[in-house]
Amino acid sequence: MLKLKEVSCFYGKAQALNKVSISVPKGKLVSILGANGAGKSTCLKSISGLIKIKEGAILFQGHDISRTNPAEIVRKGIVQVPEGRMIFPSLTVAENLEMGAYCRRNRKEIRKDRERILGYFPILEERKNQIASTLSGGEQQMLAIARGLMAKPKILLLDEPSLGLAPVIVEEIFSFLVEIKNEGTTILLVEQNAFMALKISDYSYVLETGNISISGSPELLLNNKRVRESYLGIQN
Amino acid sequence: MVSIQNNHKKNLTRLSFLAIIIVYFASPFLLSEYLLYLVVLMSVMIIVAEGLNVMIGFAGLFSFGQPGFMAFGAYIGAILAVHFKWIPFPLIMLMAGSATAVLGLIIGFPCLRLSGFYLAMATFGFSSAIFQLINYAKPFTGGYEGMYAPSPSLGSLHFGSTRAIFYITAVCVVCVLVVVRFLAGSRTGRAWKAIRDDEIAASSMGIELRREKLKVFAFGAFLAGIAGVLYSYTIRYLETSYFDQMGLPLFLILVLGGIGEVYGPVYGSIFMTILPQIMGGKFSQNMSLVYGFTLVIFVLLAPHGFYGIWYRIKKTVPAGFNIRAYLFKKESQRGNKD
Repeated sequence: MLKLKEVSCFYGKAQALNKVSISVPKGKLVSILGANGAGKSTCLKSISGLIKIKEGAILFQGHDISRTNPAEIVRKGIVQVPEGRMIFPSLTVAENLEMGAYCRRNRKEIRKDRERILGYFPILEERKNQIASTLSGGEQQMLAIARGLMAKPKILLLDEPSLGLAPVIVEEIFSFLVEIKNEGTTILLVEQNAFMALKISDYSYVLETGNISISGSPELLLNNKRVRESYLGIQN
Repeated sequence: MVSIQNNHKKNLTRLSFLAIIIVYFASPFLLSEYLLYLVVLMSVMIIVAEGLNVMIGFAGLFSFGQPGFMAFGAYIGAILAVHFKWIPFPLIMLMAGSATAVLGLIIGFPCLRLSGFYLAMATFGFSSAIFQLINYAKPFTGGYEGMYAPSPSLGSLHFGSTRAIFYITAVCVVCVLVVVRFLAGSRTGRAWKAIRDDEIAASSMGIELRREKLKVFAFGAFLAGIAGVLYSYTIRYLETSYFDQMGLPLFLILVLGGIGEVYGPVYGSIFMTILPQIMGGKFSQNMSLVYGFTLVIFVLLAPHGFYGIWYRIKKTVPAGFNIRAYLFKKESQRGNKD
C-alpha cells in the first residue's frame, strides 16, 4: 500500500535518511524502531510531505506522492499523528476532533464516525467540551489518535505515541492500536519503545543513523542478538 | 433541572444582549453631540480591532499593518467619492474594503513566509510605507496637507449629521460582530485557530497554511478598509498622521478586551474611549505613556484581558489566546523542532 524506495533526505548538509526502503502492506501494522536521531520522525515527515525528499520515491497505492503537498496527502488518506501530542491546546476536545475531519465534507458521515471513535475512548466523550490543554498526557495522546482517525485514514502514521506516558497508559494505547488495525486501518508506527512496538507489529524495521540495519518479523528481531542488546536491554 | 437552569441563563444572556443593542441604537437620543461622536469613533475602532482580533487572536498572525490598511481604505474611499460622486456610499465602502483586501493579499504574499515578531516587523514596515506612498501621491491625496473627505451620499441625498454617520457605523458594527461570531464556530474559523495553536499539526490535518493565512490577511484588511471609510466619514478630513498614531491604542484595545474573544474588541474599545477622557487633563501630552503602562500591566497580570478577569471570577479556563504565554514561550518550543 505504501512503499518508500531508496529515500534520501537532508537537513541542510546533514543527511538524515540514506536510501531507506520500507514497505507497508494493506491491513498490517508495521513499525520503525530506532534510537534518538536515527531518522524515524524524518521518515514519517517525508511521507506526509512536511519534508521534501532529495532522492528516491514514495509510492502510495502505486502513485508517487513525494512531490505532493501535505494537504493533498491528507486528502489521499495518509494521516499523521504528530510527535509530542500536537493537539490544538486552546480548542475543545470536540473541536479538536472536528479538525481531524477538516478535509471531509459529508456531515452525516463525520458525525457517525465521531460516535464510533468516541466509543473507543469513553474518557474523551466525557470531556467533550473541555479545553484540550486541560487533559492529562495520556488523554491528550488518545485525543491525537482519535483526531487522526476522524480523517478516515487509509493509513495512519503514528510518531512515538508512548512518549512521556506511564507504562499502564502505553499498554492501553497500544491495545487501541491493535483494535484499530483489526478494523481495517493500516498503521505505520514509529517507536523508541521497541519492546512494546514489537509486541503488536506484523513487521518491523530498525533504523540506525539514517540506514535500515535490520528488518523482519517481530519474532526474528526479538531473537536477534544486536536488537536484544541495543534496543531491548537484554544481556545475552 | 440543569437544562432548565441553562435555558434560563441563555435567555438572560439573550435579553441582556438585546438590551445592549437597543441602548446602543438609541444612543443618538440619549447622548450629546460630542459624546455621540465619541461613540462613533469607538464603533469604528471596534471594526478595525475585530479585524486585528481575527488576525492575531484567531490565526496567531502578528500583523501591525492594520493602521496602514485603514488609511488605505479611507483614502481610496475618499478619492472615489470625490471623483465619482454618483457612487452610492455602501458601494464605496465595499469597493474600498475590497481594494484593501487585495492590498492585504499583496502584502501578505511575501510577509506570510515570516511568523511571530518577524511578521510583526515586516507588516509594520509595510504600514509605514503605505503612509509614505499616500503622502507622495499628492495630486490625489493632498500629501502632507491632507484631504477633505466627502460625507456619505446616496444619489442626491447626503448624510452629513453625526446621527446619520452613527447609524451607518452601528449597522456595520453589528454586521461585523455577527460575521465574526459565526466565523468563530465555523470550519474555517476552527482551521485558523488550529494554525495559531500549532502549524505542523494543522497542516497534518490537511489545512493549506498559506491559503488560509492569506484569507485571514484579506479578511483583516477588508475590515480595516471599511473602518477607514467610516473613519473618514466621521472626521471628514484625512491626514496620514491620524492613522500613524493608531497602532498602540489598537493593540491595547485587543489586549484589554481579551485577544481571541469575539466580543473582546467591544470591551477594549469602550475602555479605550473612556480612558483618554479621564486621563486627558493631566496626561493629554503623554497618552502613549499611559497606554504603554496599561499594556504592560495587562500583558503581565491579565493576559486574557477583561474576559480573563471574568473567567477567573467564574473559575473556568479561558479558551482565548494567551498573549503572555505566547510572548514568553521559548523560541525553541515555537519553532520547527526535530
